[in-house]
Amino acid sequence: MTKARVLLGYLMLLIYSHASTAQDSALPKGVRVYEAGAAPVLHLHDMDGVGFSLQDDGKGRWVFVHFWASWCGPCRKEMPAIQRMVQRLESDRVHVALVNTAEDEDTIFSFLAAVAPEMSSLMDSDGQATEAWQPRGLPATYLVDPQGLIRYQALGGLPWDQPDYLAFLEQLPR
Amino acid sequence: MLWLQLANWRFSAGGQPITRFHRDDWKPRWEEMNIPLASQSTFRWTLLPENLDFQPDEREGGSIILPRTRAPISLQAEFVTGSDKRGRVVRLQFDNLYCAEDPS
Repeated sequence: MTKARVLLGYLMLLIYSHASTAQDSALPKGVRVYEAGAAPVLHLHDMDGVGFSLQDDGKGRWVFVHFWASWCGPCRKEMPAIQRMVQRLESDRVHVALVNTAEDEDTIFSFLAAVAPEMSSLMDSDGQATEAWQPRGLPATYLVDPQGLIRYQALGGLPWDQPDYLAFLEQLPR
Repeated sequence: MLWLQLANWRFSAGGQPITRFHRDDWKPRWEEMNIPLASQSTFRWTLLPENLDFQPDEREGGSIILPRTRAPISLQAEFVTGSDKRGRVVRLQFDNLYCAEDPS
């Protein structure tokens, strides 16, 4: 910014509500039913140039769509848990599609090498695919059913490698 | 449920109201400066949402941008609660906030 207007520091405002709802009580903490209809188009390539289309490749199976960025602190904490989740899931009914938001290949590679070396990520290089999904913030996770409908949403970063979460994913209907 | 509505937040500096920059203020500036879409996207993700219905246990953070000033800044933040927005109103006040010195 060249004008006399700058960031007022970084006014990080964390807001935390403590209420609970009955509707989501059977779900793992932080996961909620989110029936938002058909998932937006998601067709991206990973760092090796391999393409993934949610609407084509994701058809017939659940897809764990996860938006992340290296500058996002909760993402750094959550990504190793996602890697362990993938290792611990016993069935193949959930496909994991990581989507990096608007970072370059070197940044993505360095980040994953450090925190989750067995994971690969799709690259939303200009951030426009993420914009289309309009997540509440980063990280953001959606569970898309085999028909391509968004069914669940995660609120922030979650410990996906823990038993409650693994059991939830394993029992998703075919 | 707790509702974040930045339109209900008031900032002042040295006792005078100041107006924050709305997220919609940036797009025309970026286009004028030919800022890459990736940079625009990343910047938007660092901003606190204009509106958000905070769910139980949810945490979200972000920044708010104000005109630079040397005066002490105060913030009066108001949140309504309840799924129908008819729950109790939470009011918070923060005083003596300051801009960081500009090293340039």
